[in-house]
Amino acid sequence: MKALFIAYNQAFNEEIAEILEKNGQRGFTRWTDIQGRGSVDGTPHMGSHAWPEMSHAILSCVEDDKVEPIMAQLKEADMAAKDLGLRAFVWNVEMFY
Amino acid sequence: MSIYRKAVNNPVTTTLIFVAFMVFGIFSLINTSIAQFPEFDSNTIMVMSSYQGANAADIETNLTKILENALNGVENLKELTSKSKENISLLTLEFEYGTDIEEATNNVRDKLDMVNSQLPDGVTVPVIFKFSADDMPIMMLSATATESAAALDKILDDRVATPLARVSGVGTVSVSGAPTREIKVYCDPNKLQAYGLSVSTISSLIAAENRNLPSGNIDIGSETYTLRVQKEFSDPSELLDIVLGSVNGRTVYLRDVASVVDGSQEREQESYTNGSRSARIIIQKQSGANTVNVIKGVKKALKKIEKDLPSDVDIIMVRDGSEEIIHTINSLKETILITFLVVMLVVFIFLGNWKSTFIIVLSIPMALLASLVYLFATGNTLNIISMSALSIAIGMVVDDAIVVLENVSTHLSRGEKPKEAAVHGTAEVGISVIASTLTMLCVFLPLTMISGMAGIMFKQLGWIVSIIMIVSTTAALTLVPMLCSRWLKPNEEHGRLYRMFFTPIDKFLDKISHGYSRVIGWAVTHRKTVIFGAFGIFMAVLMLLGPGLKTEFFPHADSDTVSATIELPMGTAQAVTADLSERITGQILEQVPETRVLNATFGQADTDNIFANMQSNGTHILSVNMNIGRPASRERTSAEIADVVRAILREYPEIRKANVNDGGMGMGGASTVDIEVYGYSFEETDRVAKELQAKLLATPEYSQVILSRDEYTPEYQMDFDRTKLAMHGLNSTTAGSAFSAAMSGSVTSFYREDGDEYSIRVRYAPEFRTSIEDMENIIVYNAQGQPVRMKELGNVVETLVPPTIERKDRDRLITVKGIVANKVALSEAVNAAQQIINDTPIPSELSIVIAGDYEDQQKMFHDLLILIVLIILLVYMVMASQFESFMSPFVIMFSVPFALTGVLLGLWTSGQALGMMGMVGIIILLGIVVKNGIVLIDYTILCRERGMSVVEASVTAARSRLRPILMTTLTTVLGMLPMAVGRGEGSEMWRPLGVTVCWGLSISTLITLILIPSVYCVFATRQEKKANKKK
Repeated sequence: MKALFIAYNQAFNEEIAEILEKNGQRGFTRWTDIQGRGSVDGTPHMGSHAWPEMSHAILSCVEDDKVEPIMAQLKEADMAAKDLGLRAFVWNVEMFY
Repeated sequence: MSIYRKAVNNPVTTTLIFVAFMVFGIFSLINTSIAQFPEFDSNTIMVMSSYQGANAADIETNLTKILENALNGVENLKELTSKSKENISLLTLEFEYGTDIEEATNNVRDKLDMVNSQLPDGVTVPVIFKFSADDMPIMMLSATATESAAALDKILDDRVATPLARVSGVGTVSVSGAPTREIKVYCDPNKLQAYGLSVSTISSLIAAENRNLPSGNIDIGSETYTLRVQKEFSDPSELLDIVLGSVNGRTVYLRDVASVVDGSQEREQESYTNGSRSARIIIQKQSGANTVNVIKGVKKALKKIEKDLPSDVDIIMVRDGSEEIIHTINSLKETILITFLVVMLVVFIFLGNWKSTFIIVLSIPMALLASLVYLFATGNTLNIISMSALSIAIGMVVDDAIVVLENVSTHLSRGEKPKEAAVHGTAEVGISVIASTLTMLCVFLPLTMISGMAGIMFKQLGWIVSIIMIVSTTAALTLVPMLCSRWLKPNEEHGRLYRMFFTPIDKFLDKISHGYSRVIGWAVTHRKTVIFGAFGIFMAVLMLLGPGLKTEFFPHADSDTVSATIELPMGTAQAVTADLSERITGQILEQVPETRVLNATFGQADTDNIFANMQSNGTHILSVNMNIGRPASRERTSAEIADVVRAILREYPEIRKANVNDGGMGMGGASTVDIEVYGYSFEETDRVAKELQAKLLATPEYSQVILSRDEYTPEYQMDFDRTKLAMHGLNSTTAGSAFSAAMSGSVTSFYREDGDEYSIRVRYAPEFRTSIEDMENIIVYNAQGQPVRMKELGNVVETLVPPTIERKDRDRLITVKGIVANKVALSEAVNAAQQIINDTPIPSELSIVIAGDYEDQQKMFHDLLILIVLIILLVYMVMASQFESFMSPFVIMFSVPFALTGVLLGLWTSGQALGMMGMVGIIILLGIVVKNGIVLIDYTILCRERGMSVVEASVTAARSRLRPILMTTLTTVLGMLPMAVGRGEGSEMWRPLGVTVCWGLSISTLITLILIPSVYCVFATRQEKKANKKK
């Protein structure tokens, strides 16, 4: 079981949840309209006058074998609209019930 | 969920809401009436009372002054003028516009009740009239006939006037000028004397013979019969057989002493149309009825009526009050359509995409139609003001949609899904779109709150533009994103034709952007030069053109009617007037070939003719009405034609006073300058007024100058000597009535035919009423039955009747009314008048005031100036709260003075004067010139927040915002262009509005695009330094 954290431009909106769903991943936790900024480049998503855009984020715990295809599709979505900004991070889930 | 997302997610609801707006709008459009100006209540009340036997001066002291003192304190009274003439005192109370006239009438009535006991005995109770501009005639017809000429009056009365009066909205229909039948009994005074008869005896004998008497009932057998004596004349010739008495055993019949003539009244109004005898039919509408609708109804009724009339009776339209209105509104409709197309073209060129263009221009009909719902719901009309408002708004409604669509496109091009791009793109600019709409509302909503004439004019403008702005902003935030999410596609592939056409445009725009950013780069580093340069331009234009700025009240519109009222010396015989009328009309027809219909009417009006009696009439007054056709059908304007008529009238030295006007009543006619000379002494004021009149006429600024006061007019008085009267056993009433019966006749009976009554007038035959001697020989019988001649009782003396005493605000005055010449602005005429007043030695007891249109104009300019200050403050406040700063809006405000520079330049190049519409243009400019500044400064601040330096931010912002600024400015400027260059009918009215906005916005945009970044840099740098010091 891996935890998948996806931070993305609000413009992706339902798209990310749809990718999870397509890969048979039902569960996720989502935060909407949050602030964030990329480490390298891209416009910050601060919801301010200067940077009006905002981010959403999803945390989803997925089976190990689903991580690869999901990551690939997320990357594809990011590449299709590079200016928007989407990042995904994976780490191990130690325990759950 | 945000409103944007709701709109995007519910396309059906969103669409249907706006479709509903459009449906209501179309319904309103069909049902809204048209008119020339917004309707307003009349603001005038007249109070009339009479005091028999008092002369003008007595009336003034004993009646007028008392009434004036009482009424002076009535609430909201603007002006109190009065006229005191023999027997009659007439007060006119003019209230501030917008005053509730019902309430004012009650107040006046209360005041009158209070003062009633102070009035001298014998004064009639003052009567209150509510006079309204609506009472002016809306239509003038003229009827001619050949065979039926003699019966014309009756035919028109029965078959035209009566059915027309039934048309909904028609107030009165008055027929004048046609011969009125009268049975005239002309007596020979010598024969009367021989038989010992008098006019009044004959008159009463005729009355006694001409009666039907109901005489009760009789029962015969089982039936009851009514009894009647039926002895009314069935033919005028029967009169001749009346027995007057017997002398020396011989019966005296009427035929022995008099002749009976069945003809027309001796003195009556005569009317001629295009040279042939005619009747004039004048139609007035009811107060509050819509002119265009009433005339439509009248015309429909006329069509039916004309079919039933004898074939030789022709009805010609002399004046149709609706035509001008309809054509004016039509030409405004055209202007709106052209504006719409121009704006659409601009948007298309900038966006290069028909789908985007459609989305944007869709807000235009939507917002316009929604505002029509307001017009319909409040019972207003489509008029020059409301239609101008629509035209103004077209260029501005697209701005919000453009901003939204532009941002959505940016989001789309970054790869967002259309729906998300629409929502987020709209959300980002939502606040600034609302803020810019708020600044516009700051300008237009105060317009709905001003009072007075300006309030009446601009209430609709304020509401309409405000509603349009609100609707268009709502559409921009809901409908536009919804349509964008459906129709816009990211990075569309374009065809070859598209590339061929739009690549050069794109390149050109890029070049401008590039050049502009270079200019800004220079400007922000040479701030002093830029700021002082701009200041220099502003001052230079202000100094050079400011003093020469011409002002006016309302532009002089080309009209299809010219009318003239010509007064000959009082007492000119009708035959002389008729002769002059023939000569003058002949000359006019010759020199004004444009004339379609020419009607000339003169003579004493019948007492039952309401309209004619409202105007001055008499044997010496000739009124000429000309229809010169639509402006499009002729070369010369109505003002030029009026000048031709004035020149013709100047050739006749016998004319004492001539007033030539083109156009209808009130607004749109030539401007007038009234110089009011206040003073008690008739001689002094007359002398000064005449001197001013002569001097004014000598200047080129005036085409006609009239004095309000009449001259002393000659009259004959029969002056009885009481001692002589007593000696003959007579009193002055008996003698006086005999005198009047002989001269003007006695009417005690009527001849009835076919349900109509005609007066039977007994008087001396015309040949015995020609000289003073004839008057002196009139016989009156005393109680003993002895004949006494007038010359034994007194003398006929010639005297002078003093003129009417006019007063205004409780002082005597004489008004010198100057009509401003064609193509001369009101301000020039006022300057000329002021110069003349200064050069004329004026006794210290007199005072002189310039009033008339000038006074109204000054008041309105004053009102509007206060409004401008208020609007500037409001706009500043809205911007300050939007930016949460005092500095940024202050910088943006620098664009306002340059709007004025543009207005001055525009008025100067187009040679126009600053009038009411121009002032409205300036007010509108206050709202739109700051829009560009807002966009520019907002983005500059954004760039600084993103970490750029002040200078860098200014240049970047300038470059990236140039395109949207150019686009919104161009839509507004080009949207106003059809108004500014309009040549349609009535365009004189709104052309100044177009000119001021076009020039003001263009010049201000050009200058502020360079100046504002520089000024911003100055202030921002200073702020930064201060902040650094604090650290």
